[in-house]
Amino acid sequence: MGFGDLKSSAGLQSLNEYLSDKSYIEGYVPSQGDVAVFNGVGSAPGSQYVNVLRWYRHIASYTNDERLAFPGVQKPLDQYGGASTSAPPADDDDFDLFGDDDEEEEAEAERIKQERIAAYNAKKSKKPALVAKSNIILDVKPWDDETDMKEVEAKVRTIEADGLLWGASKFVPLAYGIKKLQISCVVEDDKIGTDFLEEAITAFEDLVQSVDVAAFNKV
Amino acid sequence: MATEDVWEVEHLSEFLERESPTEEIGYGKCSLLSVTWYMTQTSPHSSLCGSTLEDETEIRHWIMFYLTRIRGVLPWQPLPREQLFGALKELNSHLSKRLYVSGSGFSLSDILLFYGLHKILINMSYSEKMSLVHICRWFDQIQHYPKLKPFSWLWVSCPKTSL
Repeated sequence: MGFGDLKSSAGLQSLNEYLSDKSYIEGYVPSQGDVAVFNGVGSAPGSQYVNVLRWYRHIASYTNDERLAFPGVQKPLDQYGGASTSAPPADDDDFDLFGDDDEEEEAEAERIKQERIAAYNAKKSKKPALVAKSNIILDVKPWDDETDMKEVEAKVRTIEADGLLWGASKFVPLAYGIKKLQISCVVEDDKIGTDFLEEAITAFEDLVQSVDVAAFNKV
Repeated sequence: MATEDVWEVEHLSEFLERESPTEEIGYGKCSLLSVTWYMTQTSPHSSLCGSTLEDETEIRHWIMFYLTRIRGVLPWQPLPREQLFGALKELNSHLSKRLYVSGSGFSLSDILLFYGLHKILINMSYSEKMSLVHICRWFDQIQHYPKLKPFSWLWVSCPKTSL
């Protein structure tokens, strides 16, 4: 799969998306792939394609000779971008020495492939997406021994958020009759961070002196 | 130089394949910037300090940015979260226009920011990383740098925004 016509806005848009999380066209060093696409783009793109512009300026900072010395072999433009496995291996045709006219077979193979892809997609859509979760144990420390730890626990458990589930808790003696609350919870990494928890709990400032993360484990 | 800086200096000396300059210079009195600058200049990788005066100035600027705005002048006293995120946003928008932090290529400022941001990024949630996509792209690029490979056991996953 290629980026389409790199002179058109659609082509630049797809290149822009491709470069949003990459520094170079292929791998982590400048290569002939960069030169090929660089020549394809031709001139500096508009500032709305911020990722293309960044990459373009960087490649342009090399001299022509330096660019020629980049590693790799230039491929046709339409073979860069996206590690799409469905792209037909174009080279195969060139080496078809027997010149078999197996179009029918190909059509059949294509049909079977399509069916498999459909079946795979159907299966995938049924499987629930894997959610990264973490098990966090928090230490909540009160101001003094007169703080009602039961109330602290009740207050902490009132914190509700999407992707947050409170677990078991216990009171651990610290010193001079002061106890700290140790409470565990399970969070979804994408939705809840430890900062959110700490901020939410320290908001009960009349009762809570400090909050520490005692343990943080991926589930 | 604070004891907290030793981590950076030791990793850097590994990277530059030279001894850390404990004896050579008054280790205790110099800032991290001067020590690392000296180490790089006296190693075979002096090009990491930039080849022109413009590059050099820019590299120094971003090392100072790291020391004052991201790490804090007192390394044992982390910056408040809002200040840190303000600085990270600034770096993020800078990196939207650049492949590397300063100059025209990989430099000492990339290395020091890499070491410094590693500690921060590894504790960041996915959504926080998504708000700093350009930093993540740059970080992923740096952590694939061949000579930084020994750090792969500390790999930080970077969000993929394209297919």
